[in-house]
Amino acid sequence: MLTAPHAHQGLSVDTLMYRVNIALLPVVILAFLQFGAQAVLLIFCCLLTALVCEALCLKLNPNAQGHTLDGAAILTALILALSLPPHAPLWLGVFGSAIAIVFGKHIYGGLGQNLFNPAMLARVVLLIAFPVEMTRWVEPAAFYNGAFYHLGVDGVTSATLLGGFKESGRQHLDLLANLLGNRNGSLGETSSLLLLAGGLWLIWQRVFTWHIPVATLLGCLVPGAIHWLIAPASIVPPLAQFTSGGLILGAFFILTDPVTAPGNARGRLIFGALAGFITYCIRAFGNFPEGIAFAVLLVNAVTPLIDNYTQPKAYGYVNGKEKSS
Amino acid sequence: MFSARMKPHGGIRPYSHKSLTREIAIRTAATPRQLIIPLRQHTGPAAFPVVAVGDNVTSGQLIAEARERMSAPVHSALTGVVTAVTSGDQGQITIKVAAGQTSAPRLVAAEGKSDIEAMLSLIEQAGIVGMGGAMFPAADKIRMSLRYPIETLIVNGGECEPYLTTDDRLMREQAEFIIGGIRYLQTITKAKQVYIGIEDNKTEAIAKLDELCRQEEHIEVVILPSLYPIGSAKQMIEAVTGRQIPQNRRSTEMGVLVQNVGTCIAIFHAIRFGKPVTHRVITVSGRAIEQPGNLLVPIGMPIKEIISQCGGLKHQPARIVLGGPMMGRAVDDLNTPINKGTSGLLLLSADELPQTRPSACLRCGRCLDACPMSLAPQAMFAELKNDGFNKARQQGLNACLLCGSCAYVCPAALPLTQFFDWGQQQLRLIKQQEEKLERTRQNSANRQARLAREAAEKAAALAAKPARRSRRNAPTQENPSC
Repeated sequence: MLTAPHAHQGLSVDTLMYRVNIALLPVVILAFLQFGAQAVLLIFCCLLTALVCEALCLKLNPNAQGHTLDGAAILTALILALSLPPHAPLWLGVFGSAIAIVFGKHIYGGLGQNLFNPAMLARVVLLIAFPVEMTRWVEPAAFYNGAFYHLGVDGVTSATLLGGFKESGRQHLDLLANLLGNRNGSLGETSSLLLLAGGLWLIWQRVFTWHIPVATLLGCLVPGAIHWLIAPASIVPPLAQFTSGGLILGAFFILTDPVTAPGNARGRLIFGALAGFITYCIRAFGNFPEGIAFAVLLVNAVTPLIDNYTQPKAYGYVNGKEKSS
Repeated sequence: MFSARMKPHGGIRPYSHKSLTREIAIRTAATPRQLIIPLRQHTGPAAFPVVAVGDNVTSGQLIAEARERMSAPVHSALTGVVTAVTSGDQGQITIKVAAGQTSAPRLVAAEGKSDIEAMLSLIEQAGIVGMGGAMFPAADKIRMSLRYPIETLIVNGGECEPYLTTDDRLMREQAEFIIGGIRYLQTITKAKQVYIGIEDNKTEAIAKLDELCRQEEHIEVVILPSLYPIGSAKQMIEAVTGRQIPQNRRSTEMGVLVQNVGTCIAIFHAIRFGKPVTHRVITVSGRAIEQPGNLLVPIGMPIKEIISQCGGLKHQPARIVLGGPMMGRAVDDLNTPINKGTSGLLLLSADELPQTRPSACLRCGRCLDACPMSLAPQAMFAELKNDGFNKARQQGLNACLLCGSCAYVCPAALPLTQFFDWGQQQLRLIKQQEEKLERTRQNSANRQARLAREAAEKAAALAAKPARRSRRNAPTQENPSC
């Protein structure tokens, strides 16, 4: 390529993907400490399946761009694994990963072509097909008490905060546990602090802008807080909404996937707010206790529409579009 | 002195590399052995050579004249003998430089013209074009502006391309000439207010010009953000006046005239001393050249001679670029000459070049944020890939400046600017074809009308004939001319 520009910022797709992977690393390590060998194996199986599927699909479709180790498949597998119950059977992880890569991504033509977030598509498929396995939450070990998870020990299971509230209407929020991650939930959603730190680091690294996370959090928490003020018995307090149910994981790591989000700032704000609001609606009025995965898929579907209506006004145009030159 | 009224949308902040040459004063290059002077150093059609092989030329002598609008005359920078002449768009005149230098007589305007006409005539004769790289003939630009009342004259000191320090040095060393040029332009256009737009990374230039401007009533320095491409006329106007130029309208219609600082100096020399454009200042930079610097070179000097005057090469450059790295042209031939619009010669080593491998578009929107014209590069790119020229045009392809900001930030390293350049060329071709088709259709319709008219006349004549014959009672005879 010998034409201008003869300069480049130096940021590549691989760098972007690996930065997100690195931001998720602390969460993965915490999951290892809390949930033990089962969690290690689950993440490993998801990664391996995703890479094998990616390599096979790239071989089958030579037109697909990207390469096996460009970080995108790893990221998809990681996000899927982090959204699974910690002691989910390994075959569930393998099956989900294959669904994510083959039916979530490569069936559309590979990297950059998919309409829906592959990891969330796979999670929803699993949630609907295997509801029992997908809602078996184990109690984590309090790693800071020195009680690391022992190999081969069957975990004690109990409902998650949002799930328990949905079933019995009781609410007890241990904020410290929610912040540190010493509570039950999906592999990667337990520690709000680590997720927040990773997300903020990514904004600082300019992997994505602040628009989607902020809009999502506001879109979910503002109606949630109003609801709680009016009828405190029918919904958990805003802080519990904020720190549980994968809201932070979704706002910072899943909705910000550039492929399935709008391209401009105004569109991103609408997109995020919509996703947050749908999450709130599902949590408050729906059958499922946690709504992030469904909200992600729903807003992904309207992304092209948002993109179409939020095109920036070009320089010197009055109506944004060229009439005829 | 005041700051920009508005920050234009988008833009990028590339690493400037200007420290390589910023503090090095302009020096005059030694006389080269040969000049290769292109005939087309402006936006319009090429100039016509008026010298033949073997002719002796003196420095400043006219060697090719402009015969059409948007064209500009070309002068020899040095004394010597013409050794080769080729005409046409790619045409050039080669001059073997002689040892002794003699100057041609200074330019004079024809007698009996008004002051403004005389000044314009000098600017035209001097062959002044936009020295910032656009190479739009200055006289034509000013003439166009005279049709409208000009409120604001903006002098463009925004040198936003990385590496280049030409205008920065000119503003620091020849600020008086710039003010002189501005005064002439004020007289010609009767502009009420003059702004000199300079980016905030050129503190010495701002200080120098601000000091001179204090004595002037209607000239003011505007400090702009160091954003690429602030030196583009549209972005400069937006930053200085806070207004955008509506699409498909010229800035002069809005009462704004923009001239580069180098052009101002050339205008001053043309009007005050009757000197044509024969030399220009360029920045020689990059990590592959031994002594980077700012050189005053004769136009037509081959780049190999410039390289040898800058201490030669440290190592083989990975790429040689004429102009800045964002919009410049890569060249292979070391005999390529400098022309009126060349502001830099960059000898880039491999580690200064993009080291990216193409990937898939992630629709991340970085190009949207970077585009100074607020276009949607990814959408236009997708259309152009499928030959959707019309859709790309509706999305504003023709408004694209080809500034390269989108390609600079693209993480997938997509060849965006390349595609837009190609797309604009295709649109021009399509337009030409349509015009040709329309002309052919018109001709064909005219011919049909003519044939029908002739047939009708013939029929009328035939109808009239028997009557005549019967009247004359002559025998039937075919008209041989039928």
